[in-house]
Amino acid sequence: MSEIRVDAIKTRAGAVPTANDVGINVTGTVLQVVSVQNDTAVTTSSTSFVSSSVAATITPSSTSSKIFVIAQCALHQTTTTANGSHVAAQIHRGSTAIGFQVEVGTREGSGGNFVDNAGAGNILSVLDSPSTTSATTYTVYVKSLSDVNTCRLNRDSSGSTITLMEIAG
Amino acid sequence: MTDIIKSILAINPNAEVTVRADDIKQIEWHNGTTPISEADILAKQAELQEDYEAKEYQRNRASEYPSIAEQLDDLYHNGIDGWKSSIKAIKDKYPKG
Repeated sequence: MSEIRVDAIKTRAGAVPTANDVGINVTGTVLQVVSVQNDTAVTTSSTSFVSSSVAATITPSSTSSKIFVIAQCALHQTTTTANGSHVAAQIHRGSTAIGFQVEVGTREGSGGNFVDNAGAGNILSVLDSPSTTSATTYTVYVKSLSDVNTCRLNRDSSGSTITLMEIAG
Repeated sequence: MTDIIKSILAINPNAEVTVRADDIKQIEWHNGTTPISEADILAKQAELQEDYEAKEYQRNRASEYPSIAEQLDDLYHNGIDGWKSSIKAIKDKYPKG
């Protein structure tokens, strides 16, 4: 059995080496984590997605990296219709929708009355392959599925969190 | 205070609009919705708030009325006059504005 003992290993440039630098396979490991909390309210009756303030930016270290995005959204719905109604949230990279949208709503409301449905705790997640080493921003977008609804993110004192993890590819 | 977006939808129920941070200065109009002036929104907000406050007695009464099951039990044991007496006590406690 052989044993190597050294006091320190540095790159030729004198930096502390990464696992990649010394040839260790890091595929699937978490390289960095960015997490942002936000409680700015956004209320919309738009049937097209609009951006919220729940956003985080990450700069991948490699074009082969994947970004695991997970967002906990304090999403609420208010409606004036007696019919079922829903609102939705979806993660966007830049202005491009990725993953699936998550919906919150009711099968029936109470005609003429505002019906609030608290959906706090909705989770959005997606494993993205941005193929870039440029700063990349992920944002939670929200919309109403009918203009008789309003969608509110971060009502009153509630808040949302978005977390980005760079996974080595 | 009544939400800004509720005030907008009270004026135009089909408005497609976004309000950020509940700030009247941060309103975005979507999909061809005709913008409503800040003055009109604030006037509607005040009107809705006044209406909400005027109905405080209704909310107070509603929260104190016994459940339907309890009221049926009251009717069974005390008759219509007994039931009316129970309900009247709550109405008297919270008179109309």
